[in-house]
Amino acid sequence: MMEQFPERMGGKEAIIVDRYLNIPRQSSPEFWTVNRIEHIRKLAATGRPAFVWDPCKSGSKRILDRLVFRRELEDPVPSAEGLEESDGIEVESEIAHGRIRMAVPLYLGDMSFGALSGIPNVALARAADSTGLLCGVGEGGVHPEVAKCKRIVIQWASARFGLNLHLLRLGEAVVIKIGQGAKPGIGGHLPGTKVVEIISRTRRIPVGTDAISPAPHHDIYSIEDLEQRIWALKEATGKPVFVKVAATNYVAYVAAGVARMGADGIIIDGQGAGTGAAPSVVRDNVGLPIELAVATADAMLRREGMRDGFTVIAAGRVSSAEDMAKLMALGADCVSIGTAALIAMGCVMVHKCHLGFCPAVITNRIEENPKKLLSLEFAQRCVENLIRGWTGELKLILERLGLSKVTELVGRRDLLVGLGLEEPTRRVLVVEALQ
Amino acid sequence: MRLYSKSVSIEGRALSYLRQMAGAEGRVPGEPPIVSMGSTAPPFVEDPQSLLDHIVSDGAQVTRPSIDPYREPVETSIYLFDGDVRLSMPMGISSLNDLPMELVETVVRTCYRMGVIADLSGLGAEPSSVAGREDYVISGADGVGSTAARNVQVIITGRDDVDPALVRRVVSSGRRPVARAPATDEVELYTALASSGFKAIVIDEDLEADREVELEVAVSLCDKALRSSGTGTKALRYTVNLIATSRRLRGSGDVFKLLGLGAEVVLLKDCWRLGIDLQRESNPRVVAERLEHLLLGMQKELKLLAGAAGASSLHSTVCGNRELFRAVELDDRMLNVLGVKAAGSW
Repeated sequence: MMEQFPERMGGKEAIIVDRYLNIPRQSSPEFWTVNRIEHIRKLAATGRPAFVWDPCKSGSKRILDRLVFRRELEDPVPSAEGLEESDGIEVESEIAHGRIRMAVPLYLGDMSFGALSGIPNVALARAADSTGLLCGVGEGGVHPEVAKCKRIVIQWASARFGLNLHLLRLGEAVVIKIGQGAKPGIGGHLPGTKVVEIISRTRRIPVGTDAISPAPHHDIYSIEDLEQRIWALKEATGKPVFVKVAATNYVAYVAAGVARMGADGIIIDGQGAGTGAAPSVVRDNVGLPIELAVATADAMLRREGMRDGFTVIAAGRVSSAEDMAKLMALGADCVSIGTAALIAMGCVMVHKCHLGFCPAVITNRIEENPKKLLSLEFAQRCVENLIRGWTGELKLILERLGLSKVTELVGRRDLLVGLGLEEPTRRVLVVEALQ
Repeated sequence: MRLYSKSVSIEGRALSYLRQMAGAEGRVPGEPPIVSMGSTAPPFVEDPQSLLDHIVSDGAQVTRPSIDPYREPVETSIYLFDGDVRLSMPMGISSLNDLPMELVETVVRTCYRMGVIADLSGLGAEPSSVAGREDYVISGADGVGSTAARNVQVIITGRDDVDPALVRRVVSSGRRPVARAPATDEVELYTALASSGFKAIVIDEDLEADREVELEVAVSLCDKALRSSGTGTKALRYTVNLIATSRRLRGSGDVFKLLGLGAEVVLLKDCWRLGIDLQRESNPRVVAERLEHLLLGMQKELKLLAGAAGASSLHSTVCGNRELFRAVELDDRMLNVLGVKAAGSW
């Protein structure tokens, strides 16, 4: 299993990739525009904030991009150049009823070993350890080097690939994965071409077969079933338990149910979130944007008196510190980033993950004698820098909003204003229109 | 009256997905295309081209389970004409009128084999392959006598055109009268058609009318109007099948959403022709094979959408079930017309 580590490759043929590819021209509309990719690369290179307000949102049709902080309209300076790093702004927070401390409420999204080719998994887990975040390991067993990390979250998904009690107890928490934003209602999908020997061993499935997880958990057909699994996992591991769901029609009821049944938090993954493989028809037609889902789930949890201590983690297209701040203002305690972290490692958004020949060697098929390998040191440093730069931008935003703690931002919808949003959309967001 | 134009061409991703399923592109025909990383779908990234682009489908989770469409059965069949005819999937093939007769023959045979309807509207002569396959054909002839087909269509473009005597003649000759009407918000047209004995109404967005509306709007209004005419199973809705069609429809995502708004069958026009690349491929054997692949792929996609939404049957759980859908960034008036709730509302 060590063959995946460049430092132990014995200097053989593999080229170690420790720089970015040129960003290809984008011939069709893309959420992760060249500007967004360049912004992330800048943070990953310097570890310093690049902007106060995210300029990449201009022209975007996403609802979150058409929400702005009122403060930005008064003080639109976007560049962070020459600005002092904000001091005295507290970005630490506690999640899961205070059981997990976060240096900044950022969760590195659940990307599996198999979807990613090993080194990126290790880079993410190590970056989470060194910066005090959490890293979800995704479905399908854990890379042996990831298993040595502390701040990981073990996923209990519908196929239960490679799970055992030892593994469940490894991390800071367990997440019951019910759904994901890129394919709500459908199970995980690892194409057979990427199921090589080491993946076969971790997942305990034959080499070369598609790993398609069941769409539902066959022991969770109701809220009551979910309660039994939550408490079984709590008892078995002694760790906090999160439930990850996709943003769908009934996400408010689902959030209330998850909280009522004793989970410590919910990860809500919105439309447009990344995936290693999904049927196009599901990815493009199913699910709600995260901004609407977070707003509605937060409102329901408050109405039911179950908001305190319960953690709402928002995921799906979180591309900048401003996105994070806006999602927190809509009601999230923490946000999850996946694609942004991959871009920091060199992802150029060519949408080839399912084919296994990622040009940036992030989601490539694992080879016995690879021609190219991602530099672990480079990948880890880029993610750590991204987190530092991102945190810097978050602090600049908080300072301008007049807040001294990141936790004070949660649920402050009054700080936001909608630009040209339809009335029903604003009713869900509970955000005023710009007059 | 319209928010979006009806003349939108099918291109880009939508076209590529159709070609992949048909086997005109790629290496896995008959399968739903697999993609990766975040969606670029409208209305969030790409420009929305229709009301359908504002509608999203549900993913069932926790409060009710989704159905695993790879391992569990999802019923895609649709019963038409009081249960007389069973389609294997809620689709039909239309826009055949400019094809050589040899290809029409092939398409009719392929549709029959796949259990979907072939719509011969606009076709002067009837191909010989119709014989014995009449239940799966909507005849192009708009009268009685000239055709062997059992489903005969009458083209209606305004309320005054409904001729009950003609409908009676069709029925008495042992055939099923099918009306083809434009997409309009004058729902009296649809209720008049249903009450004068038509067994199915094809709402064809490509027909012209004085008060044209989007196909989505017409289908939803028609479904609601027919449901509220009469009570319970005596409602007009249960005497007539609702079929929707337009040249702009792109694939199973659109089909699924139109079912949700009330249609039972969607007739494919441009999308199947582009998918099998009819412009460059006219060998009947290849056309048949590609059409089979395309229909199979689309059927699997419908199963994925239904399974994800926790629906085990398209006909009993998806048709007219607007609650499975939510709309993003539409105003209150349009939400009300469609009968679909705003995304994020309880």
